[in-house]
Amino acid sequence: MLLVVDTGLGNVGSMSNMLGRLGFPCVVSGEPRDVERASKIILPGVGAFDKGMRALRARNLVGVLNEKVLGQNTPVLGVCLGLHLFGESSEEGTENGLGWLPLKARKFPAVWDRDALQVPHMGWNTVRPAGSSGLFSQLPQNPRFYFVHSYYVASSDGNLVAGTTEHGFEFCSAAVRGRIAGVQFHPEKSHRYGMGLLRNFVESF
Amino acid sequence: MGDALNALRIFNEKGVDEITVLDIEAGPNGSGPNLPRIRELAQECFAPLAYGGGVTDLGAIERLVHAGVEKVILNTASVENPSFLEEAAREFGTSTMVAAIDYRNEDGAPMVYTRGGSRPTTRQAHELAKELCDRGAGEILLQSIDRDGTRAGYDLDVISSVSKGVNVSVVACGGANDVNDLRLVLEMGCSAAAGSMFVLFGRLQAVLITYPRASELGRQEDVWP
Repeated sequence: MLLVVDTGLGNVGSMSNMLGRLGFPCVVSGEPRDVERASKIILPGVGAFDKGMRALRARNLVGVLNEKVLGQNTPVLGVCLGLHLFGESSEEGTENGLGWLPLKARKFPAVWDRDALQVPHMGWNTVRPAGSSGLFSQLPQNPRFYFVHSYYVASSDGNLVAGTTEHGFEFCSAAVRGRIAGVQFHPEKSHRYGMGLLRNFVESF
Repeated sequence: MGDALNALRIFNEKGVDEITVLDIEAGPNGSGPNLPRIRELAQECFAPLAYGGGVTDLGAIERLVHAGVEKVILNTASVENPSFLEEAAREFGTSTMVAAIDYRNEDGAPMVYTRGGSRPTTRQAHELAKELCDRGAGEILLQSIDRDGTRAGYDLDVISSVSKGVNVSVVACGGANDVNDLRLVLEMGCSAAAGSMFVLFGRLQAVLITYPRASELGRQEDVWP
């Protein structure tokens, strides 16, 4: 069973609809017992880092997610804040992340200036695939995705990087280790490109 | 044209890069944003969604973003109270905030109207656009009331003068008849939006929702394996 984790922090409807459109029926739930039953997990997320971690804890999801992902090696895809939560910490807050990947979320330098880097980084941008994760297979070269974020993930381990994007500098827009995958952009808002990526996750992870 | 949800599903299939929903009944004297309806549209939308209509306070913007809207369009509220736009841009980021400007040409001047085109102001489109951008609008949606639905071509002079004065993207709306009209706007470095052109086709103007391909607009198509 494919599970989209709903922590109540945003609209996960477009994610579940896109999966349905691809022919992958999913369950949308924030219940630990549904996480237990899941064979693949997608953790979407919008909003602040601490709020996201607290929402997982308030629903008693941290233990069961750890058991599924670290214990049972269940494939998991984190989207936007979901990716950040997989890391150790974030400059956006004081909570510890899930710690599955050696990542830290950092803030883009904020400048209130039209000609400088815009924060949040928002809009369509290209991803340069890296490594051999297969997350971007069967997509056009340098596929386009929709981004909305003020924080990006940085890692000391370059092997994690499955894709990079340029916004003032080149940052990690996709990270993969084993069956743990995370993307900074929103596949559910990136029509054909997003569908291709979700299909890759569901079919080959 | 029928139900917005059906139209949205068709645009999804065509791989549209952004969808704008304007609720023309939610305006200043109306009911405000219909959140259950917007949430439903956002769930169906496989592209970023912009919403405009009856947004007059920061709380409404927060609720819209939570409902799954990526961009919020202000029209009357930002013209009548530009500091509201400034607050909203600081709170939600300039890329979330779109300023819509409706205007009519009067004696050669693009005069701005608010409240669904019913209330004249003393502002001209190009100088208002500049002010709203200085206050944090991340995008300008420029609508020619005179040309809306006429399919007489875009108002290129005003689009050009507005876009020269600002350094954000200007989306022109009103008057599109064919792909060539869209091209003319794109060549000026602006974006082009259209309503009637995408839905009414052929001699009988039958309802057929469609959307031009990138190559029809002189742009390179991505190659899919």
